[in-house]
Amino acid sequence: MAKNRRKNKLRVRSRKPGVHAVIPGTLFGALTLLATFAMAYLYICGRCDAISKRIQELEQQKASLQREIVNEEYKWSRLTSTENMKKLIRDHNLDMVWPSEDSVVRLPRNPPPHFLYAQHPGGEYAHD
Amino acid sequence: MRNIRGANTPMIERRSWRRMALLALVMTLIWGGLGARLFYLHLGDNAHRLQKAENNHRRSREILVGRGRILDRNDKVLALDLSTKHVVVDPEVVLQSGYSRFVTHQLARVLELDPAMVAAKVNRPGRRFEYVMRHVPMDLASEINSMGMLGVFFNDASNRNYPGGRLASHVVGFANHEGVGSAGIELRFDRELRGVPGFRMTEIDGRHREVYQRRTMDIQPQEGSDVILTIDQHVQYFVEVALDKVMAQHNAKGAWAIVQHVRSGDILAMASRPAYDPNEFNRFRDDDRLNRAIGFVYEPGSTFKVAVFAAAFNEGLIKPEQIVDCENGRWIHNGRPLRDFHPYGRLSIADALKKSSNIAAAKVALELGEARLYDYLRAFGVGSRTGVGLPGEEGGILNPRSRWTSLSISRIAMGHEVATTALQLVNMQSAIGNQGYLMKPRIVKQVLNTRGDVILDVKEEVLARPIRADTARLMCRLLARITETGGTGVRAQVPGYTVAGKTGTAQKPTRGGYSDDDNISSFMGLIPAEDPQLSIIVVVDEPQPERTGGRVAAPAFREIAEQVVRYLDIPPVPAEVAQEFQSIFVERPM
Repeated sequence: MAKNRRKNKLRVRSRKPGVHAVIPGTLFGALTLLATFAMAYLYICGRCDAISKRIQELEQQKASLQREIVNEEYKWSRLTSTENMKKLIRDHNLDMVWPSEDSVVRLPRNPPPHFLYAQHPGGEYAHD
Repeated sequence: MRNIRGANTPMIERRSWRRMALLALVMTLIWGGLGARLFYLHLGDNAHRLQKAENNHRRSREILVGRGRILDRNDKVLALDLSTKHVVVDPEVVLQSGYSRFVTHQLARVLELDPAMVAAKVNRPGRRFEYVMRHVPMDLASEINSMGMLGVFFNDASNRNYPGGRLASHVVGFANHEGVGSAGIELRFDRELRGVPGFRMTEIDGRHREVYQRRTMDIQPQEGSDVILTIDQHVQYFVEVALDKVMAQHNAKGAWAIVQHVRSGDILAMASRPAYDPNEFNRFRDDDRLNRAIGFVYEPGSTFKVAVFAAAFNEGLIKPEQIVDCENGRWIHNGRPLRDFHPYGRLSIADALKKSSNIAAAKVALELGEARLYDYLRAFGVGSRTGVGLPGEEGGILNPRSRWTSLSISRIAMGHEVATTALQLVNMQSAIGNQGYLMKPRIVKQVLNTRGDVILDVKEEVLARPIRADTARLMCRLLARITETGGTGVRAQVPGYTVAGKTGTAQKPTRGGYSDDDNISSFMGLIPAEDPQLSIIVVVDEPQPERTGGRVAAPAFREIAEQVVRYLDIPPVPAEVAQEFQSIFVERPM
């Protein structure tokens, strides 16, 4: 105990007269910690803001894309409707008649070679 | 000097002090007042103020969802919710900009509107809001927006759209302006199509922008489900074109047709005339919106004989080659005459069916007896709804036996005193083509949610088996003779195929009897007869001047069948099958 007292006396004596610590160490530590928390809080707030804005943008983008998909689907179904196809065929003079049943060659599911190749009069085989 | 200063200084200091005191007092009062107010606002009775402040920045709203789509069997869209824009002008801004003529011209050009009408809306000083056109497609709205015209803006909107217009309108139905299904599939599957709206509780900032972090509740909406039909858009088109043609050719009051897949009972097409455009449903009469294929009950006439003959064959009471006396076209039964359209003497049962003799049918029914006839008709589904799942389906009329008169059996045999819908008849015919199995007609295949999960899967269902397979096959053979030379349905022949069918020409009932001029003409047939794949019925209401089913409905059947077998790639049966089919009944010279 006596040794400690001497050490403390020496410490007091070694300090220059009139010079004091501006902020006590503990307070400094606490303030630094607080500032760190505040900065972290601000950073997280900023990140949250940025992410929420991004989410909102994406939500809007999703809604707009969904609308676009529906509109494209609508246009496609109009384009491929039988009525429109018939009209286009007529407009481009592509109107055709169905072949009569005796002009149709029907192939079985697993056709033997003689079904796939029609024999030419000359004896050669040509792809049908 | 010193005295003067000395005399003045205390006075000045005193004044300065007073001023300072006064200022301090004023400041104290101000700050004290503000403090008191602050104290009161925070700690006093402030509940209603808090509520008001919260209401100013809190927003809660329902997130509405669009209705689901209605698709055909190949996923072609028949109905969908389309995003649109309302084009709006602010006349005051447009007029102030000095470009009112330009704006009028451009809007009229892009929206294909009458320029005078647009000008009338734009030239309204003092007005701040005028709709130019509602539900404008997004493409057109974008085009207008790209012009950057001052005072022209857009409101988001959505409307139910039917890309096919009148195509399958009676099946698809329509949703009204509030988005509530009001007819057809739209009505039947309203709950599934409508989905569940979401809910969001959030806060907004001073610029009315949502503060995302303040979303306290966010319940996502459940989009409406998609309903997939068994209808094939192309088959439907063939049928509708044929009906339009028959309506125009025969000045008919109405016409309707159904194409059914024999094995599964799937309805590939169901059309009715007059028709309506569901995009403008309120411009049409109720009568136009009636789906006659399921909602029009009529006396079927000779097409009904199919059930009577099938029942008698199934009971083994008659044979095709058995002779029946057709009484030269006039037969008195229970004191009342029964007539044939053409007089015949002695005919085989097969020929009596081919010639559609009423007298022969009545004699066959008498042979069968009331009890058995009634049971068979019930087993074929006469007098009860098929359960196809469309609103407005009628069950037809088959009186209980207790209400039959002594004449009833002979009249029912020729398709009078009994009333059916076209769907009941085509389904009955399908049973004959399907080895006697009566299937439940199916028009909805599946209901899928937005993730593609199956919510409802409508399975094929056998309702009954009124006749045996051998009877069904015999009936197919005998019905095929009707479209052969000498039969009433020659005009239903499809080149390359054998058609089994039956014509029907029924007089329409009037007060106290039957009309001499107004008929319901029909033809129903199976194709190919040897191995039936499709069952088709065409009914024409009050055709003029031709009135028989063979002349009016049979050609329409042919037109439909010819295109559908090719489109669905249904080949004619192999020669050996056709030969075996012909051998079921061989006509012998009498």
